[in-house]
Amino acid sequence: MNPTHQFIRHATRGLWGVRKRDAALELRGAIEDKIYRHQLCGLSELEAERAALRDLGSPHAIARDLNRVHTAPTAIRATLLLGVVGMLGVQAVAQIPAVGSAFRTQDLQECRVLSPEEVASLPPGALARLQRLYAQYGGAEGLNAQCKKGAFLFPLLSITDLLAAMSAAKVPVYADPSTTSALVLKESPAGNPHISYMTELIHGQRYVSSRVLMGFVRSVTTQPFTLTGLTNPVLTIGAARIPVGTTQAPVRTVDILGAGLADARRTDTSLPLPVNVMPIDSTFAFDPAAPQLAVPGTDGDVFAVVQNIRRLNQKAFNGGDQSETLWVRARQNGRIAFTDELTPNVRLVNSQAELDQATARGVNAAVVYRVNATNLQHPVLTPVPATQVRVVKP
Amino acid sequence: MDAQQLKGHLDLLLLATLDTGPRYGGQIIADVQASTDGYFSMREGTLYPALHRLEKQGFIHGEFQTLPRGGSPVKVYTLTPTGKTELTAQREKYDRFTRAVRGVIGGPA
Repeated sequence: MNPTHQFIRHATRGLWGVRKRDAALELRGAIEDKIYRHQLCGLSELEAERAALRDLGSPHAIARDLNRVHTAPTAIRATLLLGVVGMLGVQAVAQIPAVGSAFRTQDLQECRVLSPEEVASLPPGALARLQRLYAQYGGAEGLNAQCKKGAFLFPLLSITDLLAAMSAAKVPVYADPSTTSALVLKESPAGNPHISYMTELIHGQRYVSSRVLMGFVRSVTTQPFTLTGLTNPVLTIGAARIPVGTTQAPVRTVDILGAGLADARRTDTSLPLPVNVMPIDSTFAFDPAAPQLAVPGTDGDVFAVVQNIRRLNQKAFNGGDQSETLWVRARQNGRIAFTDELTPNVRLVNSQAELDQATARGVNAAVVYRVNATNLQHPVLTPVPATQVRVVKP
Repeated sequence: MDAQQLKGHLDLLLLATLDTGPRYGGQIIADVQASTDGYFSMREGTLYPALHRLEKQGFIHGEFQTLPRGGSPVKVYTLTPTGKTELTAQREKYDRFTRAVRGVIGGPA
């Protein structure tokens, strides 16, 4: 192993994945550039390499500082990006079996291709939207195939697996076994029911919506917990690591967070969300032409957007008073989705108070938060200044 | 140059350097050294973690490019619109700070 290779190996120790590869590539480029400059000054290749590495300083100090930047202050992102690795590595260590997931059979059976008559009856805007979706998914049949795979559905979790996992994690759950249509939790073995979740029967097994996972865990333990990975995450409670979801019915962390944050706001007044806010799952077939938000940070960071566009549109349409919507999304290619409207003409604001003012004036507006999900017992939302966010075309 | 002094102004120096155009690490070091007559002499060990931090904050954007001489690509950093806003804010903050210090220690404004 030559000195440059050894230097890079030490300087990138502790990093992983794309970050490690990119940091190594960047350092290699920097070292070669220095070698080139030193050679221009007349040094031999070997001397130039020595001088270049001396210029860079201690590789251990570089590794320490790079790790500080890329891992320490962003526990959630680190854990989210660990997802795939976590599914393999963490599961083996914790020896807690995965919580299985599935889609409702009826929902899958409802997938179908619209008839020509139905398509012809669509208003121009809706027709154009459908055609964009067809184009994105490879035609009507392609869209239908995705639907049949459950791409637009939220998955459900096996209650048997969930309770077994909680037991293995030493989190006592007092579930009432007498009901079959709901998962009823009690505060103690003989206590009164204090929360219940609707269940679905799939192939003879009871399932509960994956969207309630965060609220469920908050209701059965006060221990800190977090989710690792953007898809089929690992639920960490204390020392226990519980894989959640299957490849057949992938569980998306952002949808658990969206529903969980809206639920947590009912009792946690420190969350800067409206008391009534409607989470919008990431699984819908959104209009591919809808604008997105360019946000700071790096891909994998999780953001929450509260917007009043749907509220104002629906109020104008039917006079009703709808709630604001909550879009929890992971940054992808520098962007996040925040609307299904084509031309929202949205004003980006800095706080819920400013959003309320905009709503009172009938102005479309959105406020963006960075989500710190390190401890989902107490999730933290930090407003992203409006100056750091902009609406962009997809 | 005291390392602590450099650390306190590193972000401002890097953002201001990139305000003049895209640069890769080696160029940034050379530019800072040249424009401060060698007063600021930073090592890559300090530079790269700082650049990564600024990129993570969305203030700069890095892209690998191969130099005309060939070899491994270097990562060229560009100031983002958010970075420009941050630079303006940091410049104002620095101006306020130096005015305040000047008010105490005296000397030309």
